This record gives sequence, structure tokens and C-alpha cells, in this order.
Amino acid sequence: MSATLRAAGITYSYTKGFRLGPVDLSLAPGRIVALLGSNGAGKTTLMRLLAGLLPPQQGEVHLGGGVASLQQLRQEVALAPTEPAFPARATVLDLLRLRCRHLGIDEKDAAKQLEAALGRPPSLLPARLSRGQRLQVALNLAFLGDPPVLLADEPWSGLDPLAQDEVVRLLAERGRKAAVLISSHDLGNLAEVAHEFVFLHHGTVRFRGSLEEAVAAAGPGVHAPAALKTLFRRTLAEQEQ
Amino acid sequence: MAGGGLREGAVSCVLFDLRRWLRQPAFVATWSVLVLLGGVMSWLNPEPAMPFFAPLFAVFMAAGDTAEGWRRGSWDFLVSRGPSLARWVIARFGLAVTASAAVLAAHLGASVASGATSPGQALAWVSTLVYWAGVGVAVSFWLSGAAALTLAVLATVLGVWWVVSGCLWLTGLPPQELPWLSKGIVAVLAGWPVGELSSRLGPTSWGWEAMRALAGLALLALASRHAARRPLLTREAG
Repeated sequence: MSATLRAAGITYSYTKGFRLGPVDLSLAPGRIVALLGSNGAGKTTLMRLLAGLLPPQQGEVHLGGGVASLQQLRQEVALAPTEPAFPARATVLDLLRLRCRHLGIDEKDAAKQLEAALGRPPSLLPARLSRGQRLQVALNLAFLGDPPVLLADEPWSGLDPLAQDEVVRLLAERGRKAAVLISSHDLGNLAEVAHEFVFLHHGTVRFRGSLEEAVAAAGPGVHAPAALKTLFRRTLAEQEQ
Repeated sequence: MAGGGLREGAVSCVLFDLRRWLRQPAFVATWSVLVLLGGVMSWLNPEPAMPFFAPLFAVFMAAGDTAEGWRRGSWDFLVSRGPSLARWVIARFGLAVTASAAVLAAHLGASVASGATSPGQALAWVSTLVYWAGVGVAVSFWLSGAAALTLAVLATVLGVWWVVSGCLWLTGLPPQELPWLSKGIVAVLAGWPVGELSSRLGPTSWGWEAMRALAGLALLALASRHAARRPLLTREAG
């Protein structure tokens, strides 16, 4: 399946004045793109646009060559949100069953895998889980059915170091086949897993390149992930000027 | 292939929502007590028991927590790699009609079997359930289940007032003498019991009762269409 997701000049403005874009971005199978930016830079909005949860006010999102409808994006693009808001009174197992049935995959296997990842029975309400565990639920649900495009918003926030390593490993594994976009402030984990880095600031893309290009742009003697931090700082400083 | 058939998808949504309703002890207790009460009352006396409770379930369940889910952002989880919003709307409508029809059956079943209530009157009640479930899903994007229920009760009070005194007071004419269109609008939009209101408006006819069900289905169609196009904006994020 051709899973290339391409945003062409997409914009979104909120009533309070924040404007995202125009943003051009391509995600291809087998590549992991890291999305960086300060708080409020537009990362979450961009992810929601790519996942078909918001319609772009200008521009288009293409999937597999054609312009994708919101419904197509919702079906093909899996989003693991940073602060998952689970439906009230639904257990983890309810959510798992719903998605498995929709995607036509075996729910028993999926339930076993989720239980192993969580260390808790999936029959629990998400409210009974820790924040890190809820994030793991969101990630595991996003992984179900091998989505061609995977968007992960702060996927290791709130996880202990071992769990973070596991998520890095899982994302790297997914990134061999799927098109993956990860938004995070954790530059170390991103440097470990991502092939391309996109800096977003005040709703526009300020830098786009590989880790080697980011290191080169940061200057001599600086290595990843310090190079990413230097670049980050410089992007902010340029904006201030 | 993601999605399955329309029926299969809607069934998954119904089962998902049914499990969530069953985790609300107050709701389960109220529904069970009303079904039991209807059964016992019908057994003791084959007159219609209290069928007017049934539409309350229809509107309350159809509106459900859709609006709350919107504010909290929980729809992201349900529609991303899951059934479409339109499918959820249809599922909620179906579940609301089914659960309220069970209440109706408990209160009216024996009465219909004994002949005290005509099948036509029973169908008028079913039509009322369809209408209020349609209203429930149509307002569910903005109103909570409790607010939708309040709306239905207010509409009923307003409908009764119109037939009893409001029409004469405002137009100088009894409701029976109004043009057919006015009668129809009042009969459809007012709450329940539809049979009594309709009879105060003139002879009860299948047209009025069917119009109520059709209005409910039209509202369902509008709500599904709106759901298919509505963005999932929860809050203004950066």
C-alpha cells in the first residue's frame, strides 16, 4: 500500500489568533520524521490536521497520491495523542474490541499483547491507570492493524526510562514499514529514532533536514542530541530578532 | 479491510455504548424499575400503564454524552481508525429506540393484547419514540442527555398548554379550527402522549402519527450528515 502522506500548503487558524501554516510536509513509508517546536508552536494542530480530525482551511492533504477526505485520513492515519481523553465508562478492553472489530483483527491476541505491555488487565477503566499506562494504551491502540501512517504526540512523556526504551524500539520497528511522525521535546529519544527533523515555530516550518544536516547547521564540535538543542535555541533566537 | 459493513460497524458501536450504559447504576436501576413496574401494572390491570416514560429514555439515550465527548476530545479515540461519526449517530439512535421500546412494551403490551389499546395507538407511541430519538441525536452535538430530556419535557408541557388554552388565548380559535398545517406542526413538535394531543386537535389520523416518525427519521438523516462533515475541534491548541 502506498502510504505517503503529503500536506500541501495546509493552514488552520483559531479564533484566538494562532495560525498554523502554510505547512508542506511529506511522510513516506520506512521513514520516521521528528516534529519539534516550543509549546504552542502548532505541533498538535498539525497532527490533528494530518489525522483528519480537523479540516485544513487552505491547502490539501494527499494520501497515496490523491487528495484525501477527512474520513479517509481517519481510517488510514493512526494518532496516539499525548493526553488521551478516553470515553467515559469505557474500559480499555471496550476500546480494544471496538478497534479490532473495525479493523478486522483478532481481539484476543491484541488483548494479550496489551495486557503484557501494561502489566494490568485490560478490563480496567483508563481512569484506574497511571498517566504513563494510559499513554501506553493509546500507543497500543494506535499500533493495532499496522496503520500505514502513524502519528505519535509525545509518545514517551510520563513513561519510566525502560518503558521509554520500549516505545523507542516499537516506533523504530513500525518506522521500517509505516510512515511515522513523532512530536516530542525529548531530543535524545528523537535523535535515536528519527531520520528527518522538522522544526515548527509560531505555526511555520523553520528547519527541515536529517540529523547530519542538523548537526552541520548547529556548528562544529556539537553532536546529537545537543545539536538539536542548539538548533532549537537558534531558531527561537532568530524569531526573537 | 477497515470498516466492515454498515450494519457490522453500527452493531460494534451499539455494543460499545450498551456496555457503557450498563456501567451507570442509576440509569440501569431507573430503566429496570420502570420496565418491572410497567409489567406488574399491566398484569394487574390491562389498561395502558405509564407509557409516557418511554420517550424520556429515547431522547436521553439518543443525546447521551456526545456533546461531553466533544468537549473532552474523546471522539478522537472513537473515530480515528474506528467507525465514522455518522455510524455512531445511527447506532445511538438505534439503541435509544430499542431501549425505550422495551419500556413501552412493558407498559403497553398487555393493554394491546387485551384490546384496551389499539395497535394504531401503540404505533403512535412507537412513532413518538422515533421522533424523540431523532430529536435526541440532532441536538446531541450541543446538548447533554439531561438537557435534551428537559427540552422534551418542556415541549410536552408547551404542547399540552397549546391544546388546552394557549391556542384559544393567542389566536382566538380552538385548535380544532386551525388550518391543517398548524395542527400538524403542533401534533408533531409537541411532546406526548401523541394520541390525546392529536384527538384534541381533531380526528387522529395515520398521517399525523406517521409524520412524527418521518420527522424523527429526517432528524436522524440531518444529524448523520452533520456528523460526517463536522471537524473534531475540542479546544484551541497550539
